[in-house]
Amino acid sequence: MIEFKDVSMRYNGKHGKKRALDGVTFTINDGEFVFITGESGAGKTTITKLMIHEETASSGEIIVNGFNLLKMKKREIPYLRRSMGIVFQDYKLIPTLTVFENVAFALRVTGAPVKFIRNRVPYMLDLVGLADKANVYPPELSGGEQQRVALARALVNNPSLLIADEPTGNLDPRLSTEMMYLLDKINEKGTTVVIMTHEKALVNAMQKRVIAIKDGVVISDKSGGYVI
Amino acid sequence: MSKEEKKVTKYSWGRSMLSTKFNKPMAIVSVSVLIICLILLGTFVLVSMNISSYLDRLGEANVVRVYPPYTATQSEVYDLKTTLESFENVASVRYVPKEEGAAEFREAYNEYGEIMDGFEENPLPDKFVLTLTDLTKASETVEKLQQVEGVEQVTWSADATRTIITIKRVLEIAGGAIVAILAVISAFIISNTIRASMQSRRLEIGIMRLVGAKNSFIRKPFIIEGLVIGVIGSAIAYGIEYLIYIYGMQKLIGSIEILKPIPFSEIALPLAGAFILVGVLTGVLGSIISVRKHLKV
Ligand SMILES: Nc1ncnc2c1ncn2[C@@H]1O[C@H](COP(=O)(O)OP(=O)(O)O)[C@@H](O)[C@H]1O
Ligand SMILES: [Mg+2]
Repeated sequence: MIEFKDVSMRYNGKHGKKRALDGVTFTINDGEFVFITGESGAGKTTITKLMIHEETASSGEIIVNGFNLLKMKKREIPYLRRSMGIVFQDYKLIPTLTVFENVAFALRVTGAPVKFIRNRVPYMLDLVGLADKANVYPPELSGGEQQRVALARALVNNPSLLIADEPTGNLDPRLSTEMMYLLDKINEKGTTVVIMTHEKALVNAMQKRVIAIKDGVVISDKSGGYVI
Repeated sequence: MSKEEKKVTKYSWGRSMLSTKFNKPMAIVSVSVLIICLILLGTFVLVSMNISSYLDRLGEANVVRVYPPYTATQSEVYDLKTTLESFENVASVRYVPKEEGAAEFREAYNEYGEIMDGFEENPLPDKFVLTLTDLTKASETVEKLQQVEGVEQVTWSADATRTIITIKRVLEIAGGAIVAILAVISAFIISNTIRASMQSRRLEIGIMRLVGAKNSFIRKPFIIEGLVIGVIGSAIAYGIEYLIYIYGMQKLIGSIEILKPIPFSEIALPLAGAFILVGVLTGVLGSIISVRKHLKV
């Protein structure tokens, strides 16, 4: 479960302070499939970063998977992150490791046994349709393929929550639809799925709950939603 | 699982656990500095050990003479010998009857030995010649010996002993200072190497964090890198030190007979232990310093 209560975020950037979020409040229950939409610069990536405690909110309260993010100890952060899978807008793959190793990476940091890794990673690569790319390095892959490696890595720990920031950002419409279908399937198996996106057509096609953000403020939150 | 897959997994383990990109030039510099420091250190220690052992063997210093009274009977002398043998801090006891004493005198003083001939009867007393285990406690031991029943007189060369103790202490202090300075230099260089290695892996470290790696997991490869530098450095330094000792010091010192160098076999183990200890400690310490400073969350 994710709870944002009156969350505000101010960046202390080079060009002075920048208010990225203002009084954001919403609750996402276990098992939901939710889009958080908004134009570029609306604050979607900021929300992602707050959810995974990559950034700390300026004020408000954030609870994710039972962790109270503004009050938790630093050494608990790894456990928060292991409780979720994250697909980053810029994938965050390690260019010097193969696809197999990149996916195995997320298991390894948790101290998973080698044997488990050997079985689990090929299964995940198969799931995202990259079984034949196990020994390829990320720079040799297309954007869409890299995105799917990122998805495999996010899901390899079997998290109860999946957060994806612009997971279709680099995909053509057909692959975007395929990606959505994949995420929907993952949601059907019980994983909570939260997707940040600016692609209205995609959101409209899926008919899921939509939280719309504009200039760091929630402007609407409804299920089966359309974005105009 | 096929052979091919197995190869892939094994390979990946090695790559992820150990630093993917050793900063080679930096690592080589680190290892070299460590080697130089260890060799300087080892040579100093070996030289001072030899000096120490030479000083210990310097007859005059480590000798305490215990004289029984002229009137002592055979059995009293025998009893005294037993007492002395089990005395605290006494390493060895040798009984020198006056005849033997005279012979020793003649031998030691060559032509002046004729002085002995001037006496009708041997003027030397019987005596015990003792050596001590711990020279630094010589004066206390001598004092205690003087209290022993059946002991007429105790003589020893207090000045020589004090000089030797001073020399040994200076060597120890200098040795400690050198160890400290060289260890700090090595640790500093190694910590710089590790910092460079961390900088080249910043991206990886950031991603590790984002997928839930604990600090200890992130630190491990860098600590291992420091450890590897330490172990490689001390192994190479040990080999070089061996050659220096065998071909250099032992030949040099060995040519002067009285100096009798300590055989390498006797110091091989302590030297290896010291090298590994210093190497590993500076390696691990160097990386811990760097990791602490630059891997803050
Ligand atoms: N590190 C940062 N420092 C300063 N301003 C930032 C930083 N990150 C994002 N912003 C600003 O915050 C606002 C929201 O950004 P972001 O969350 O990335 O939007 P989105 O992901 O919806 O495109 C933008 O105006 C952006 O310029
Ligand atoms: Mg964004």
